[in-house]
Amino acid sequence: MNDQTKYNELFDRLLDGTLNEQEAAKLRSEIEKDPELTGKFEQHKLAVDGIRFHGRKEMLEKVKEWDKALNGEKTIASHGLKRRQWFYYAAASLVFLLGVAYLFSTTYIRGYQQLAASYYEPYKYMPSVTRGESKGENTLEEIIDYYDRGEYRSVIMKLNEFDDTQKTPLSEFVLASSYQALDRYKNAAPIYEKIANSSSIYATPAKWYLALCYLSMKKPDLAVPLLESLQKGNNAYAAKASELLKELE
Amino acid sequence: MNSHSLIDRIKNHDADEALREIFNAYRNEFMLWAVRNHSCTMEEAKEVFQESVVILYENIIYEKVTEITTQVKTYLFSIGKNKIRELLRLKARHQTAEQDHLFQDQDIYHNRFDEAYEEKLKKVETEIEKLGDPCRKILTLYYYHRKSMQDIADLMNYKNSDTVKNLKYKCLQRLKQTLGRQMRTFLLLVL
Repeated sequence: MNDQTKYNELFDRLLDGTLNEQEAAKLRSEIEKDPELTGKFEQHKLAVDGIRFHGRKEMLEKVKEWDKALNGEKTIASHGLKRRQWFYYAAASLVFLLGVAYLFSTTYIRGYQQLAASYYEPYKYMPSVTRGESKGENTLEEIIDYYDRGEYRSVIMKLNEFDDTQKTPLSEFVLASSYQALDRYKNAAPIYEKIANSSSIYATPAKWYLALCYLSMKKPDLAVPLLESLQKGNNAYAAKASELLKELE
Repeated sequence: MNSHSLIDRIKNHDADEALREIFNAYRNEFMLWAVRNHSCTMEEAKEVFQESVVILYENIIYEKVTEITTQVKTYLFSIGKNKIRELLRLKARHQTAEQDHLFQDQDIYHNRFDEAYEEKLKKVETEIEKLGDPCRKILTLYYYHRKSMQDIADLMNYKNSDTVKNLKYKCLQRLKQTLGRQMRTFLLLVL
């Protein structure tokens, strides 16, 4: 570890308050005594504060977008309600009838496969991959664009050309999601299994989608333990898993 | 959503969804409460709420709060209440200043850093934008969102955490070098 790396780490820990009292006091005294180190520390602090300032602004922009989306939905809803109340009564009746039909079908008619299909929607939070050095043809960034456009066959074709050095948890998750979107559960399941058993950030969504795959493959005995673990945890799938488990009962 | 669940979800890579649920659930109630009880305008209440959600997120990721003993709603509203007080205080000061024809066009929300330091931060921000991705994203994920090297590797599709660690070091050095150059130019102009 060179000096600069060492000091970067120490400065980070000093700013975050994760150095113990003794270490912090020693570093502060070093900074005070050495004008060059003082300059380096000030510059580091300014850079970190600037990054956090930028991050906060981005986060606030994101929240403003949520506000716009929520507000847009509400404006449309209230505007429509005033002008066309009859339409909503009719729609409500239709929804009620459809709901009754849906309950009837899920409870009495539909099998596991259809039940899984009713809960399935393609994973829509694929990150934007921004690796500068990997831009070009068939990069994951380009492949995720195909995924976002629903061109799953192209995604599978391109990802299957990846060699082991190119495979990452994200690329594997995209591949499994594409197989699932095309109802190729037997291809998707083993990939999801691998991700679900890893410490990747895609482990939780992989569990949910794997459970749906198992149901589609008429293997509820494999799906249930996954759904139960999702239900117990604090994650975005807990409520849906609980609902699905009730339906399976 | 209970407070335990919120903290876990935010720390376990589900922050956007969890915060958006909170946002959608309490936004309108907060705005009505702020307008009725604290003489805010709707626009002010909206901005305060947006900022409160961001503060809630920051308090959790920076571990200023590790356990919320009350309901999430109560905690969020208490952040909002403090922000409203701050806003009203600054607004009052702003109005007095306006009467004296001073300090016009000030941002009533800026209270974190003093004005000169905030100017510096804006310059740093411009440099961060110039760095572009992946540097901008790596540095923001690491320093603002407090993601681990492994999480960043997963999110940005890097092979392993060591690659991210190296890149983060290089990106930070690039940023510091740019800031250093700016500082030298500034000193040359002054002297």
